[in-house]
Amino acid sequence: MQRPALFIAVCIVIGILMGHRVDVSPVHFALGATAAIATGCAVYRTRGNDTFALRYCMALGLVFAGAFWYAVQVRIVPANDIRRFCDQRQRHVLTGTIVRSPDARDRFTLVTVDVDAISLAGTGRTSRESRTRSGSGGMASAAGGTPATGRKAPATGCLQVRLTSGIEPGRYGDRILVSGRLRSPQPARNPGGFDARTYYASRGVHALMSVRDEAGYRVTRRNTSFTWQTGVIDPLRNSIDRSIDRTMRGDSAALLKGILLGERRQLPEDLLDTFRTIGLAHILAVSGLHVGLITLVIHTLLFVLRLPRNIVVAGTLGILVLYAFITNLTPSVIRATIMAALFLAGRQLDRQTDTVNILAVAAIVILLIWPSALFDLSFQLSFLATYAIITGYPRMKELLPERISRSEKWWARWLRDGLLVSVAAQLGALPVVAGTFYQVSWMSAVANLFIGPLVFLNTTFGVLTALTGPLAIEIARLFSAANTLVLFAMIHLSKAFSGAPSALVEVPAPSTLFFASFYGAALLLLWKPGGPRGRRTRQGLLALCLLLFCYNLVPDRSLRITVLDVGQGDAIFIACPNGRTLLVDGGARSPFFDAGARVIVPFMRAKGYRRVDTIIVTHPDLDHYGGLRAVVESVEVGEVLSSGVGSDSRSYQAWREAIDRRGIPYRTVVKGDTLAALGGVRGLFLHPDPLFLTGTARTNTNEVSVVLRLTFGAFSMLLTGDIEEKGEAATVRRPSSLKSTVLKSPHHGSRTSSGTAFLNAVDPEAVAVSAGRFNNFGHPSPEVIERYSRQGAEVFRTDEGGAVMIRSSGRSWDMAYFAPPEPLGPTPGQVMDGFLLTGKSPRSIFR
Amino acid sequence: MIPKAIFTHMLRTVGQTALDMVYPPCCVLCKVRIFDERSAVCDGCGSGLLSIDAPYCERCAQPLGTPVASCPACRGRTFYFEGAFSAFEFNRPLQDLIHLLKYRNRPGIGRFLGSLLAKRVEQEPGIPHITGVLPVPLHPLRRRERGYNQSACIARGISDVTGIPVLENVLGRGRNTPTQTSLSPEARMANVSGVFEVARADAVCGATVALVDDIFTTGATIDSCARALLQAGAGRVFALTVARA
Repeated sequence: MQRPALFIAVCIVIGILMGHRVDVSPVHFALGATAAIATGCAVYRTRGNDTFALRYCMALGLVFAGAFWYAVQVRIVPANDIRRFCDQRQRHVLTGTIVRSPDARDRFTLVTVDVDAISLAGTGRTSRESRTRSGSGGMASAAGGTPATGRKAPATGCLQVRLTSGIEPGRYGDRILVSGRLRSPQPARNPGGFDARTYYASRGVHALMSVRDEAGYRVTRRNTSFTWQTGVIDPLRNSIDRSIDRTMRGDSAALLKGILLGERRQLPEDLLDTFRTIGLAHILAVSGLHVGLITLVIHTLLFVLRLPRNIVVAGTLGILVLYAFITNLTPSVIRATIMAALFLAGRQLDRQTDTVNILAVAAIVILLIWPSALFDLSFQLSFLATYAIITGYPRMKELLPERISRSEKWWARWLRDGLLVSVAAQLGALPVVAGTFYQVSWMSAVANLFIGPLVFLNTTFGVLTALTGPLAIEIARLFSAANTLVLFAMIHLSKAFSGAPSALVEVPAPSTLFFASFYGAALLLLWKPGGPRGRRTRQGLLALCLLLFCYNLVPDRSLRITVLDVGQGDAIFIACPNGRTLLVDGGARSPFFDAGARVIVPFMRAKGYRRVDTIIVTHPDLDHYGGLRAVVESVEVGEVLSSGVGSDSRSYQAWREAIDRRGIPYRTVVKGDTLAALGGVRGLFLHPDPLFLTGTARTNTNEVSVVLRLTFGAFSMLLTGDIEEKGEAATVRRPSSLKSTVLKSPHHGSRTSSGTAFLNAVDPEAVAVSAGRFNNFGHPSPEVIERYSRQGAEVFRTDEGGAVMIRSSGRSWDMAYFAPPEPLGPTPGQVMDGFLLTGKSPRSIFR
Repeated sequence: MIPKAIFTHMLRTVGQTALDMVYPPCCVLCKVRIFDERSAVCDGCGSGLLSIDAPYCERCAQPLGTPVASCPACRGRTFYFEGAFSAFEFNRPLQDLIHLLKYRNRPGIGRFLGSLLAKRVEQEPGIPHITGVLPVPLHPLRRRERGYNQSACIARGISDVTGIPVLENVLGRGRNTPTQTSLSPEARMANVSGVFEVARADAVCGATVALVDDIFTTGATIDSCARALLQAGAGRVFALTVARA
């Protein structure tokens, strides 16, 4: 095998993906791995080394082993893990040790705590009372080990505490006591949403807590013993920080810290945006590039000192490891450090180093220690970009005319290598970047040509400043002066580049098919087949990839309705077969949460919808129109329809002003109006009747909600806003027009709506309930859910599974959750018991 | 209880396998995977090395088209060493190999080239029985920088095949001279004259020894070594080099 580690790494990655997707007990994976390895041994015995069958068995064994390893680490949750105490009404008191240096931000500090004990706290009130009684030592009783309200039990898991600034967070290694409500990081609940669970899980954090007052957080014991972090890493980092602060000022110092240490806190937001716009934000997050540069600088420095080779290598390695720790061990830094170490070690061991193989070794090491790193953005980008550069750069160079690819003139090399390397990296990471940020910068390759060399100078001077700072600040000042010039040039260059027209291109999230065809084609283009048969296969497969790629571009000719999870409120996005888009309501807006900016706009970005043709406001309640303001402010809107009933509230007036300022037409609809030109979809308004509007029901705005029935072939959906008894009664007068396949539950499934007469008339096959998780109204009412079930309708609730996605071709339709509810994993003991007793994973116990 | 020998063998196999996973042995020139542990190049690249076969000048190892009485390369020159032998012509693949050996920290290539050289030497009738191989020394500073002496690596390769001991630290280099590559033939001679000294004369006294170096260009370096050796009382001195430029 040319690259044994690559083979292993690919198998492990496939295994981890399998473990992530296939939801069975790890025992099954272990059995699979054992079986594959046993077969492999048998094959080896009978057929000997290096047969296809042996390789196949090895691959299978590795895949299962990877899946097993991932499942063991992720799926099995210890019995007393803090995950099992999350999202409950009670408050908990936890004790533990700070395992990462607290991360101080503007208004809060993030503290990561390895929890070792948990107990039930009293209610919020009793803890406050106890504080008033015993002064600052309010948690004394809990710290004593036996809080009044609960037994102390050992616990496991990592918790991230968000401390409001002003509370002393403590330092690495300190023992702390914290009390509050444990929250679990939530997976994305809507397309385009932020997947907090995967984000935190890849950092080893499984529970969150916010602490706003000092009573909830206390350092119980200072760490006094010498640790690697407090004794070596923190002082080093502080020393570098101080050297920079003492010799530089303002933006340059902040930028240098960003480049050298990945510290973005002091960086002005506009500068960060500038770098994002030109697609070079990666130079402000310590990555492989920096490790490479540091290696180069240190290695050269030690080499110039004419030290023996062994010492040069050992010294470089030592500094690299320190640097990796100083920059918080992000996956990309670990990757680069491992690669640099293997490179240097390979030279010392007199071994040929194959870059791809070494990259694969780095992947194996990281994935073995930390399998969920595969889902970490930094890991993905780092490995994709590096692989793309290693393999893509020489391949692209081959395609250039001989005169250019062979030229050794400095400017030819700068232009050619600079462009090719960044284009390769850009292409490699493109789908992931698009899928994460929904925007791509086309500038980065060009900007990189100029900024790249400056980063090199920055790093060199920065390292020299950091090294000389503690010894002789005067010399450090000299280096910093030079660096300030370079940084000045860099800031101005990047600003100039970011001024280019539409440097950032908005793109929808790529589909799985796009991912597959893109990377498939890329790998095929990198592959150089030996014989004519290989060439033919390659051409055939390339054609297939192209076909899949084109299939992606075919517009979707179905009706897609998404009942977004905007918390308590309504927002329903409708994409018609002809591309026209409707938005019915827009969720709530409050100082803490803006459904428009946080849910609807990201959803539209992710799906590639750039425009809303029609916004329909069912009625003037904040949880229905609040988020719409952000929508009209950030995307193009064709018109706004409503029942004409307004409200005097300030936020409603602000919303109306937002429409008027943009010059968006505002129209009133009544019963009998229709929506036209929706590509085969017909929309008919069933409510409110003009007569009804003048009646007494005006006192309750819910009752005058706009009711819209959409039909597309055999499929129909009834959108009901918040109508209650009277509104329902009004619509039921002509029951024949109500019958619908899917019903949007009126008034979030409240007890006052969904009457029997109404339900009989609609007779839905499925009901979508839009209600917030843990909402204060008790929506949806269990009674109503019961009624739906009795009607024979399947119920989809946004509070349980996130956005509800409905798709219809006009003949058939289907409906699914975006984030299907998932139970917690079993305990290790239960895995064994469950397997031995039933042969099935006992996950259902934890519903 | 596993016997100790088997245990160490197992440990070594595991270590070797792990090392091969991380650094799969491959041809240093074309990166094709190779499975012969001792080889540095694949068969394809290996066949690109042109061996110098008879007729060649027995004094300066220059390959000759036809057997001639006096070699055009060393006509009118006298050498302190008695005869010279080079295994290969200094063509592109060999140039790359020697560059890797000297400047890219690949001492293993030296060992590999040394073993090839030894196999050729064993078949040559003109070279008598040799009791020790002496690598041309590097200045201690240069050696420390590079981490090894490339000639010593070649000598060790010769020793691997023939079993002739490598006499290290017998010759020493007193002055750190600039590299020979950019100098004219006359300047080369002046550059290295009197640079070498014999540290342990007893090791070579009366013996038949071979000096080992990577390339024979004008023979100035080797000649300077040979002179020092003869002065220290060596019996006969031969010059073995991988390449003849």
